[in-house]
Amino acid sequence: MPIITRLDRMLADRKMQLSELADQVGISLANLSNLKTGKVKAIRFSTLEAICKILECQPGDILEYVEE
Amino acid sequence: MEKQIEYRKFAKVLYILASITYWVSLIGLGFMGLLMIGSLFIQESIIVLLLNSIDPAQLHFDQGTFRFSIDWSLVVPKELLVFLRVGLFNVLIQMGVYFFIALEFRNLMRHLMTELPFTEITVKYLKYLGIGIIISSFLVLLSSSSFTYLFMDSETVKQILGAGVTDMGTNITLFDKTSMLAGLVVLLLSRIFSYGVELQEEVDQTI
Repeated sequence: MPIITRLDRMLADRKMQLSELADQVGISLANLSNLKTGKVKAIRFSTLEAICKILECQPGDILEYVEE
Repeated sequence: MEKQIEYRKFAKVLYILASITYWVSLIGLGFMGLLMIGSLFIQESIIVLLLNSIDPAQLHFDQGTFRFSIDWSLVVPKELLVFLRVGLFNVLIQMGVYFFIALEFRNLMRHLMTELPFTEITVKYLKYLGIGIIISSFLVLLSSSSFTYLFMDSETVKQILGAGVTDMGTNITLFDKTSMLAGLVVLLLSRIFSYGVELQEEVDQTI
């Protein structure tokens, strides 16, 4: 998929665990893990907003377009 | 969530009805199977005995579009045995198809009781159910008396039917239109549910 997530990089910078982020965002660890590994097909704006708020970043910091 | 609980309750009720139909058709199928096997062992001599014990004056038949009386003294026992066996085989085939429909319907309801509706398994059960209903629409051809008579010598048929025949199965129906339509609609539903599976997958992979 051309859209990849840099969630692992952001979590490492903030020294935060994936489970901690999942709790604060309010989604399951499995779903967040799928997002991290690029297995999801779509993300709601509300979820993206919650992640950006907690990680104090922009959507562009988490999502990146890489041509195949 | 409420709608999910609602359809599951309905599926449970249908499952109970489907289970009753399933068991009744299974027992019926078993019974017909035994009768069929039993008929293979019936000897002509038994038929002769039966024919000798019948009082011809009491036997007149009124079947659908035709009415006839039989002079039993002219009936050939061997041909009557063929008539019996073919008749039993007809019923066995029909019951087999109805059992298959009851089985698939029961499986579908059992699945819907506990799982989400838009899954590959639902699509599979709907497909088999549709095919079963379409096949059952052709059973009307087997039900026709003239189908049985096809297996017998025409002279014997004339003897069995005797005098007073007004008609002999000239209205052969190839298939039942209502059942055919129902089967096609169920097949269409399976295609629609297949699309539903795609949508469900997309929803499941959206966070």
